Amino acid sequence: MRIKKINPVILVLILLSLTPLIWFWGRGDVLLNGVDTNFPLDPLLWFKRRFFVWNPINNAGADFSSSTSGLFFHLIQVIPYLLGFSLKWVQIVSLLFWSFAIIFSSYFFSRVVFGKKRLVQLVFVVFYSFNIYLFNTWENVKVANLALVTALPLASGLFILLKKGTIKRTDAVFYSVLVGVILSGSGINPSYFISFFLTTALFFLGVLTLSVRERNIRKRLIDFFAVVVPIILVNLFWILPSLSFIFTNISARESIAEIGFTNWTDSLSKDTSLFNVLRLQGLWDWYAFDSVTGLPLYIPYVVNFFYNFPFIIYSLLIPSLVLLSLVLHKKENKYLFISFSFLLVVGVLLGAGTHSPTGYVFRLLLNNIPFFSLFRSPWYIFTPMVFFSIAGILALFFDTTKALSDRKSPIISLAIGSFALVMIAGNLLYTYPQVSGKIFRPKEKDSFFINFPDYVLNSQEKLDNLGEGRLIGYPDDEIERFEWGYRGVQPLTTLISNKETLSSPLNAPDSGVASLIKHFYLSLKRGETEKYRKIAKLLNIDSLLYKNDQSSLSPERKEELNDYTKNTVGEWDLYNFASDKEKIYIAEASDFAYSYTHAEDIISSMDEDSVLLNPSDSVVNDIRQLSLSSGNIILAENSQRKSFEKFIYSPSNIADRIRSYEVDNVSFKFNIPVDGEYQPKLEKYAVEKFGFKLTGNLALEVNGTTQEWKIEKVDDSYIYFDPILLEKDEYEISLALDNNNLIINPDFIENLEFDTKGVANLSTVEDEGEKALGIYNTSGEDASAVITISDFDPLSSYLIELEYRQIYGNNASVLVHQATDKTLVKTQVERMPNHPEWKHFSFYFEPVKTKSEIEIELAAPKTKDPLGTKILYNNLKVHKVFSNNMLFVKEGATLDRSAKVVYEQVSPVEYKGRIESDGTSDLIVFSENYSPKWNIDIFSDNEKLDLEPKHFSANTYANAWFIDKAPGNYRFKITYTPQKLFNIGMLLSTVTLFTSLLLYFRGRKN
Amino acid sequence: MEEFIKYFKLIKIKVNHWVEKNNFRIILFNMVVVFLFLLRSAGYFHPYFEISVNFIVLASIVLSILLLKAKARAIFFVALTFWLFAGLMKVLKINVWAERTAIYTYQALVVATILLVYEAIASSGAKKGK
Repeated sequence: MRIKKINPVILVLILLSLTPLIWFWGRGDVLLNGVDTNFPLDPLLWFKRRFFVWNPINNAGADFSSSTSGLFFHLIQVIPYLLGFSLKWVQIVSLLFWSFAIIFSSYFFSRVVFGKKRLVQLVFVVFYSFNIYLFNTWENVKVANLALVTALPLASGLFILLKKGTIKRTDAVFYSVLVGVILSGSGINPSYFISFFLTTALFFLGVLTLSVRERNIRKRLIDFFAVVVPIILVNLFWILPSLSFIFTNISARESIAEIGFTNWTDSLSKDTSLFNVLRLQGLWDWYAFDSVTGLPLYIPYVVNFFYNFPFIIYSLLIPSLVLLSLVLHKKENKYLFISFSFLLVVGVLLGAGTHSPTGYVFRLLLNNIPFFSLFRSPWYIFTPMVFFSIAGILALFFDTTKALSDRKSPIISLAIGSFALVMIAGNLLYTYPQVSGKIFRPKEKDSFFINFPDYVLNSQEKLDNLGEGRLIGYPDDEIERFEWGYRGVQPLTTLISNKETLSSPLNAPDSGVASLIKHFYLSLKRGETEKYRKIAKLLNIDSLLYKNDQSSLSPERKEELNDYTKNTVGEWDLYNFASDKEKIYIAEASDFAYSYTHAEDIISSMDEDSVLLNPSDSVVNDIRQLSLSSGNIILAENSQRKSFEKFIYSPSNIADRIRSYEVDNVSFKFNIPVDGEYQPKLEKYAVEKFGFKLTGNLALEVNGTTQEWKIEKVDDSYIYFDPILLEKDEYEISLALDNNNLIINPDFIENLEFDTKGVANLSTVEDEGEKALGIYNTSGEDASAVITISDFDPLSSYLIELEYRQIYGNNASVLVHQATDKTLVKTQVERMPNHPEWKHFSFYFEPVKTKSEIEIELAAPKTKDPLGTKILYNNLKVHKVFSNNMLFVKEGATLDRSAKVVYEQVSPVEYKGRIESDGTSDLIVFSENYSPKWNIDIFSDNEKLDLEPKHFSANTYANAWFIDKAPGNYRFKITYTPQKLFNIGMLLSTVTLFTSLLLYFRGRKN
Repeated sequence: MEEFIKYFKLIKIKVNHWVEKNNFRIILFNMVVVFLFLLRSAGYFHPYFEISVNFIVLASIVLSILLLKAKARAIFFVALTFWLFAGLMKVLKINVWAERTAIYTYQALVVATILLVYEAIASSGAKKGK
């Protein structure tokens, strides 16, 4: 039997493709997971989610249009999962697939371009498949990048095959559809999908210059569209809903600012100088170093690339050979040189982002091309152009020099061949983090190799059986850091279960649902049971997951939760927040919030059967019944809180620090929109510390007139006063506070009772008739007096005041340190301006909300001047800020009716149900994030009713529909309308796939 | 070695021949470049227009095409020279100069690429004319 000789290049490529096996070699039963890498612990769940354009799993849901493009990527995971592979092997199979895909797609291209020149083929494949850009791609297993990098050489290769006439257009259409399927994952970040077309178009321009000479531009253009159009058609399933989302939710200009990434592009472009981009070293996280230790913050291996001589030389050698290749360019391959030069020039220009000097161009594009701000991570989106061209030009270099030397001297030819081999080996050494798996930071604290505990992997059933409501996690950190290694932005439970989850969001922290979640956590930490129970109902929370294995600074709250039934799963405690509220319900009353921008402060004072509405919403205003029946809740403006927030959220300035702030008095300003009887409510939190009594009357001034309000009742969240009559007008209420100075030893200046830091002469001095603390420091270190405070509450904010006089030397400084018993958590340094006379200085301190203590350092910093520093301090005071809210509640008419809602969730985008009501109009609340694209249809038993439900937002985040003249009993269907676009797109994509297949086989037959 | 000297001599003859042939253009090119540096050192047109070194490098590259009939290959060679110099600066840990020189590399690369396209299209035009 004759055995066909195997191409040694193929063998080498197979070995290179097996690189992911090295990553897992000897690491035990681990998964690559964490931070941006979200490997599902149930791949089937994640695959199924890709069929819907709304994902309800996290934080009350979000549009999922572009994520549906991950269908193929997750299919690769689902197949081995359904075949019974372990999760580790599911991941390995998925990684091997993409490793093979990148290497063999680049091999396809190199074969098309370089024919049978094996060494040149290898050069292209190795430089294309192993480079610094791919470190980051593999590190986070970025779907979009993997898809783009795989598809680029395939599409470019098809152009050349068509140019050469090797394949027919009908074949090219079919192959393009396959490329489109592979490319589909890039839709997760549509800018990568666009980058694909830009790159292929630039590559095609080189081919086109050749056709100018051959005078067949039209033919070439048809070839171009024969490749590009099928790719678009087969991706319509995600393109259609994503376009709908982009055009309706993102503004054409400044969309970065809209989504909270104003300085994102600038910060990512900080180190993308042309010098770095040409060496592929433009990753922002490479340049993050600890200012104290000088060590890399994120990427440990960068020290080799920055300081190791051979690494520096190799990084310079690659562009040198690229430029040399361009110098030596051959006539017969000129179109390829043009294609790759285009890619290099444009790739470097765009990849450098807003970095000067070329940043001017990027900024121009950003400001003038609609939606260009979608390219918010320039280096990551455009660098594939650069390494595609580098690999191509390098391969052309060896192609050219080898051809020249073959003709002239076999020795030179051998030398060039050896040099190519050295470069290949050198590149594999140079990219050792990718080859060895160091990109996943093994042995580091933030390693991506995670050994999931059994209780996590086995928690799915318990999570799924918790009920229909939502699950909220605690501790409340935005990034979960588990003691066993996993760190993630996305809650861990979403990797394993379809249980809807709420967590502190890292993105969109100002959204309605985010504000409510924040308030839920704050109330839980403060022990305000009434408040957090109400918020839990409005957020449809039925369980709280207490993660004992999460490293966090958040305070322990287990005692607070003792009243709830508990279920334990390993290190996790599941508390049952049994709620009588469903995701869809009929509101029994409604309240207008004044103002709705602070609705999260208002919502917990609302009756729990009511719904909070925005009185400025034009749709709500048009509904007469709501205007007539809604109650009013007015949030008064707290003067101390206003000063505090202005100080904290303004850029640091001296004017805010040399003024005086009210401590012993707080005023509340508010407008009453309609006459009526209002019940005042004051937040109860820590009011006793300000001298309030929780019984009897409260003396205060209303618009300058002294009044007494009788306390009606008190719960753990609010003090309720007897209702008072208020006319439509402006009001200012003034309350006297007994706000103590929290310095433990107020006579510390006289007695010199405090700790000291550094070596200095500290003494009590008489100055202008008052005793002051004098610190005279001539040492080479900072010196200070350390003052402790009593009764520190990390959930409150503080005003720190003092007087200082800088006699000479360095500036006076005050440092506030907050520390737990284990670690320092916050230091605020206030450096006072030069002032040789006595000067009042004050500032606010907002502690980290963790069990801790604070101390205040009054410092005389060191100076180079041999005379040293002498500072006098006096009148140090620390006061709590009285930031409690005062609200005025006017009850609305309760809609005296009974209503029963029965519904089922058909899919994440469709809910069907029945309402039995005895009213004539219904206010339906749907507790999923508001989107104008949610739609409700009303049916009688047999037909759709011609009612026009009015749609608006409610409870700061949810959807609400007002149905006027609603029949007593009716059916409803709530749908997320962009799903139709997905369905149409999916149909078109499938038709494209089968049509191309048909054309391909018909072509074969003929 | 002998072959190398022979090759070197050949290049020398070729260069001499080219210099003799383009004497006037070379003088003009040098004069413009020197003049640009003089204008820069005297601060001419500042603050309305700053004659930066970047500008002079770019102008020199463009002038070399117009006056010295430099081909894309030559401009790519200029880019390579700048890059090697940038590399030397990096090795000597003078990062600021390395980054600055890389800008010149890029400028040369852009001009050379445009020229390469022009040459490809122009040569097709010549073919057509023929």
